[in-house]
This record gives sequence, structure tokens and C-alpha cells, in this order.
Amino acid sequence: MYSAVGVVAVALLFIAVNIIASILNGRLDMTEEKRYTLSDGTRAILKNIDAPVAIRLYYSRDVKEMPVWMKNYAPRVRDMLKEYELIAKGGLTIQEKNPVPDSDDEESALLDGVYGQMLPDGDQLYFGLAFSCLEESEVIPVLSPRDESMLEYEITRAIFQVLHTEKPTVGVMAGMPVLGTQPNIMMMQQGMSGQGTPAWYMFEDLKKDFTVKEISMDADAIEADIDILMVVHPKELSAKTLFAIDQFVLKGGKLIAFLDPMSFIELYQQQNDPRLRGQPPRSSDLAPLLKAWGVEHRSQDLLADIKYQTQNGRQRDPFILTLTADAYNTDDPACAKLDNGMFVYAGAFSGDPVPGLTKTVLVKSSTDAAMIDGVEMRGMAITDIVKQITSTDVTNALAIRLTGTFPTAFPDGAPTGDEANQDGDTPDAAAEKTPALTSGQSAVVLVADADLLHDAFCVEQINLMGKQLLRQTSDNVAFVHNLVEHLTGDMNLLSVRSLGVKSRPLTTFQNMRAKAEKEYQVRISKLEADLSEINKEMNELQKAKNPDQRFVLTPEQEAKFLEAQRKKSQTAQELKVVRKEFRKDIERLQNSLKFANIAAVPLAVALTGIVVAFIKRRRMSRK
Amino acid sequence: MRSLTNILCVIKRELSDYFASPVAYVFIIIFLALLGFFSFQLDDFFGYGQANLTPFFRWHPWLFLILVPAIGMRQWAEERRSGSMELLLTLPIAAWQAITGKFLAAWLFVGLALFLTFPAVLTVIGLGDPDLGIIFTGYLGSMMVAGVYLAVSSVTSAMTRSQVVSFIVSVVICLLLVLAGWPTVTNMFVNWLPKSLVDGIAACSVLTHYQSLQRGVIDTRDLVYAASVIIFCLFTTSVILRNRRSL
Repeated sequence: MYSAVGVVAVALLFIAVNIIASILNGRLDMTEEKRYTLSDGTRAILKNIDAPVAIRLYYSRDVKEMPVWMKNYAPRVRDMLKEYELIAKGGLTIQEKNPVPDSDDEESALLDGVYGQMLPDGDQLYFGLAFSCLEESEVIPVLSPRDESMLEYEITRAIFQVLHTEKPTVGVMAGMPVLGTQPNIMMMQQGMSGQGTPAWYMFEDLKKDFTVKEISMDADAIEADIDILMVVHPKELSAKTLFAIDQFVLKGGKLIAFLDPMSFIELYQQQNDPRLRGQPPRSSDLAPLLKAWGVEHRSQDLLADIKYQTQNGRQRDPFILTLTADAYNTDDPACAKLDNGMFVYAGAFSGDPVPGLTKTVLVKSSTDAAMIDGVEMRGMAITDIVKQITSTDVTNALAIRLTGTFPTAFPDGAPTGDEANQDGDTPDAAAEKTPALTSGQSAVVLVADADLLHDAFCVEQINLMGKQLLRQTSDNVAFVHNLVEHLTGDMNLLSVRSLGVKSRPLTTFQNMRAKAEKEYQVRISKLEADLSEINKEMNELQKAKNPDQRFVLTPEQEAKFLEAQRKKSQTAQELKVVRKEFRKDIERLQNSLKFANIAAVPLAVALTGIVVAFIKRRRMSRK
Repeated sequence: MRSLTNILCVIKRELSDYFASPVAYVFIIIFLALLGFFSFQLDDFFGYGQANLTPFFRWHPWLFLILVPAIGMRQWAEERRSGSMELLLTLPIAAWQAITGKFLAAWLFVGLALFLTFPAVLTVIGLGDPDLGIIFTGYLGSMMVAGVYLAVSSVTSAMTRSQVVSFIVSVVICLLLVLAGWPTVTNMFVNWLPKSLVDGIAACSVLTHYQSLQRGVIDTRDLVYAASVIIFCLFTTSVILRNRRSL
């Protein structure tokens, strides 16, 4: 036993124990968000599996030069799948396949839509999931650790989709090319860019879960198979279209509208495309409908928010909002777990809904915000805008949901008038139309920004092992997806969404910065204004010199000039000082924290040591 | 139980030995100062802007690599050098109790040093809203790494009279345990060992288990790993001591 043989035997024993442990492992998730535990939504969906679901994990296990991140990620994916299997209790079968080159498994992978990635040494690396149930199938072609936080949602959604073949239909009525444009041959022949644009990522994402249909901006009726109508940046809709939307809602159709006081995207495109210049940026609104429902919406006003302003180096824009978790109504299932949103040049909703309707605020601004008129704002400097914002007790609603009984916005029925006649409706045909509804039960979501749907604020391209992939940079996609899903009524899938790696910022510093911002901004802008005054003065003095006295100043003028110069350097100095003070408090706090962490306890220990040694020596010398 | 009291006795004796000399104080001061300096100054803790201790925990396995064997090397080499080994082993305690006691004492001592890093925890709690569960498993992982290093040091210090040799050998072995999971090392093996064996070697890496705990999950695999390494090393220590004794 107690010899070299014994040692080897014990070593082998422990290796065996570890191998067993790696197969039969248990886990305790200590994270606050239970990041590594399957959520209740997933459990609910798994327990309700009514048809056999098969999952195939393709993993090139034996690849020689396995990248480190993959080696660490693959076991985690396996662990998660194991938990799925456990909870589904037989409803789910999971197979792991190793797509070695030219094997049946590789063929199966390619058939399923899982493709391999080329490694530097020429090997193909497969890591994807395929789901099937009866005739339905879904695939996650590549599993990337960057999307680990969404993994549970992706898997649960795939399972859900193979189980449920019916997808709700979303009708998109958009004032911007969200669903992409077709290539325009004529434009291409004229040498202009007419290649057509792809659909926005947000809408490609929606297509995964919904059937998406395009609806014209001047439609006069919404088809019966549309479950949810999504209206994006509607600019000056005709009365008959508004009526169509009105009736759609009253029939019980769900509406989600993105109304933008000023489209950042359109502004940007105008600046880059000479043909579009000269057109004023138009804001969007659904005025008659909103009025009937009791929602106040000043369609030209933009929201400026100090707390959520976006900073890029030294530049900042209070009209571009980077929202954190406290902006969202996290009690609402559509907004739970969201904490990183971008609203760009957004408006706000106010007012009390009419009796019969309940309003839920989904996204709100901070209390350090104000509404600024869109036209005025374009000529104002940032510092002036900041000056206008005072801390109030009121927040502004950036997105709301209305539920209940909606009254019609057209109490007199379908709008008649020039448009109706131009359509060629004969009086007889008009009389045959069904009578208009005057009220109905439904749910409507209003969002005061349309730019948040654009790729620029949702995703970024990253290069992962030679493949161009898109990575979400904000929670906007999750936000919109949640809103639409919530309207369809599927709660389980919703609760699984975005188990995102919650950002936990150092809020103390954030708040200090915001406070310093307000205090010092006033002083800085005043000093800057003083400086420009003085410069103007000096220029005047230069000009006021007598023409024939070009090189000689009168004593008074000279004195004034020197005075102005002195004031200028003094003001510039003050400005520098104030800018430094700006960061002083934060730096002071950081330095004292650094001291506390680096030196405080060691000093205490050293002191203790010295005291102890001292006491001992006294005791010894006494003996 | 007799064995428990014996072990506690050994622990008490060891700990008072530590604090009788400047060793304990110097270790703690250097450990805390270096850790604080690396995390907060060098690594720009505040620059990350996040209320978690990731930049802090990142340094533990590496700082431990140099400092922990310095504690561990004293376990047996000292006794053998000063001749008190014979005295210890004639006391009415079993060898395994002495071994376990010494190990636990060293482990508790490192635990104390870790406890004294509490300003870091208070800092993040004060500045934001950190996930305390992750911080807890982070410290657990840290203790695990320290335990593994100490167990290895126990073996090396039993093998030799020289503390220096014990220190160097245990640092090298611990370093190997850390690097076992690194691509450069595994790539060396991949060409002349079957893949499953290479994976097995990688699974021995202390770093993989440490990083797993850093994520906030307490996995039985990590606990089994730590326990088996520690028990194996302590067992090996007893084998070595027993054989040395009979020489």
C-alpha cells in the first residue's frame, strides 16, 4: 500500500473518479440572474412537448487545432443540452455527431444546414445544431460563444418552432425601406446605384418567427389574415389608410406603430445622397387615431436626456439615447431583462387615455430630460440644449402599450371625399360596404422612434474565423421582438428571451459624472461665451483703428487692447481650471479607493505585526 | 473524536508558528499589496466600468503560483531540517493527522489572506450592483487553486530537506498544472498521443476548473477535481514520509 505501487494505484483511482464525475455531474448556479439555469419558460415549453423532437449536435471533436474558445464552449453547450433532455423527460432525443470528412455524419450535417468553418490547418470545424419534429426542421448552423447569452433562447425557440407550425402573420407598412428594395435596372443602366438593399436585420429576425407581409402605405384595407400590423414611420397617411388601420384595430387586430419626430437615418441619407437634399425631414404621426385614444404626441418634438446621452470620446449627443435597465418597465414581460437600448432622435407620448383604455409605460426617459422642438434643435449647440434641461420629477414615455376598448377615430364612418371618388367608387359600391365599427377590444403598442429599427443601432458585423457574422450591439432587436411576441400572446417563449449578460456599470461614477456635467457645463459655457465676447471686442478694436493710423494706436486704444488681452488669457485659464475640476471628484474617489485596496490592509497588518513583536519582546525581556 | 482534536491541535500549533515569525505578515502584506496593485492600478480596474471582480480574480492563480508554494514549502522541509520531524512523529498522533493538520493550517492561512481582500468587495458593492453569487464562487475558486498548490507543495516539501528545492519543484509542478490546458502545451502532445489522452491531460489543468468557478457555477466536476488532487497529494506525502522514516 504505502509504496510507489500504492501511489500509482491511488492516482488511477482518482482519474477514474474524475472521469465518472465528468459524466454524472451536478451544478449549482450561483449567479444572480441564474444565467446557467434553464428558465421557467423553457421548462414550460419542454413539459408541453406533444410530438417527438430530435436534436442533432454536430461537433468536430477530433479536430487537431481546436481553438481555445471553442474547446471551452462546446462542453457548456453539451451541458445545456443535457439539461434540456432531463427536463423534457423523453420528449426530446439528443444525438451528438462527429462530422469527420467524408463521413455519413458530415453529409447529415450539410443536409441539415450545418456548415463547417475552415481552420488554419485546413480542417473543417463543425459546431451547430439541427432540430426536427415530424416534417418541420430548424437549424442553428454555427454556435458561437459570443452568442452564449442567447443560446437558451435560440434552442428553445427552435424547439418551439418545430412543434408549432403556424406562425402569426405580421403586416409591415413602412415609410422606410425596412424590408429591402428590389434592384432597379433602369437606375443601374443610368450608372446610379440601383442594386437594391437587403431587408433590415430586425425584420430578417422577425421573419424567423413570423410570416412577414408588406403592406402599402396607402392601402385602404388591411387583409384579414394579418394578425399584427406594424406601422413604421408613417408620414402623412391618407384618411382612408388611417381608417383602414382604425378598423383593423377595432376588429381586434394588434397594432405596433413606430412614430419618429425626426428620422436620423433619413437625415443621414439626405446628407449623403445629393438627390435627396432639400427635402425637409418629415416626422411621422398617426394623429387622428392617437387623439381618439387619448394619447398626446407632439410629432415635431425631440427628447433630450442627460442621463442617457450617448458619449463617443469627447462628443456627446443628448438626443441619442443609450438606455439602461432602469429605463425599461422590467415588470412587463415584454421588457423584462432588457438593459441596453438605443433610441435615436426620439419623441415621447403623454396624456391620459380615454376611459376604457389602460396605458402601460414600457420605456421611459430619466428625470433629467426635456422635449425640444425639432426645428430649433438643429441650430443649437449641445451645451445650450443641456442648459435647457432641468431636473424635474417627471419622466417622458418613449414607448407605451394601450389595452382595452378602443373607440373609433372616424365616428362618421369611412372617410368620403376626393380620395374615395378618385378610387372610382360608385355610390352603389360604397353603400354595399359593411358598416364601420365604432369600438373594439385590442392592444396597441406605440414607440416614439423608428430609427431604433435600423441596423446601425442594432447590430455590427464581426469577422469570426473568416465568416462575416452579425452581433447584436443593443437590446433593440430583443425589445421589438418581445413587443411583437407579446402581442401574439406567447408568454413562455418570451420569458426565455435575452438572458443577456447584464451590464453592471459602476453607477456611482456614472451619477457623479452626470452631476458634474450639469454643474460645470453651466460654468464652462458661460466662460466660453465670455471668451467669444472678448475676441469680438478685440476684433472691433482692430477695425476701429484709424486707416492712416494703421500701425499706431492711440494710448486709449492701446490700453483697451492690453486689457482685452489680459482678460482673454485669464478666462482661458479659468476654463482650463474648471475643466480639470470637472473630473476632480471622480479622480479623488478613485485614488482613495485604490489606496484602500492596495495599501490600507497591508499597513494594518504591518502595524499588527509590529505591535505583536513589541509585546512579545517585552514579555521576553521581563522573564 | 480523537483524530479531530489531534488535527485541530496541529493546526493551532502551525498557525501560531506562522505568526511567531515575520513570515506570515510579510506574506500577507506582499500578497495584498501586489494583488491590489495589479488589479487596480496596472489592470485599470475602474477603466472597465463594471461592478465585478474579474480584473481582480484574474491575478489569483498567478500570484498564488509564486507565493503559495512559499508557504507550503515550510510544511515538512522545515521539520526535517530542524530535526523536529522525529519529535513530531513520536507524538501520539497518526501521521495522516499531522499531514492533514499542516495542510489545513496552511490552507486556512491563505484563506485569511483572501479574507483580507475584503476592501475590493466593499468597493464594488459601494460603486454599483455586483453579482454577489459570482464573487462568492470566485473566492471559492481561489481557495481551490490555493488548496491544489498547497497539496503539491506538501509533497515536494516532504521529499527534500531544502526549502528552496521544495519551492522550485512545487512552482514548476503547479505551473505545469496550469499550463496543461493551454494550447501550446496540448499542441505538443497532440501529435504523438491519442486525442482522448490529450483531453485528459487538459482536464487536469487547474485553470479550467478555476475559470469554470469564475463564471458563477459550482460544478461537482470542479469540486471532485480539487478533492481528488488534494487527497492524492496528501496520500503521496504520507507515503514519502513513511518511506523516509524507515531510512
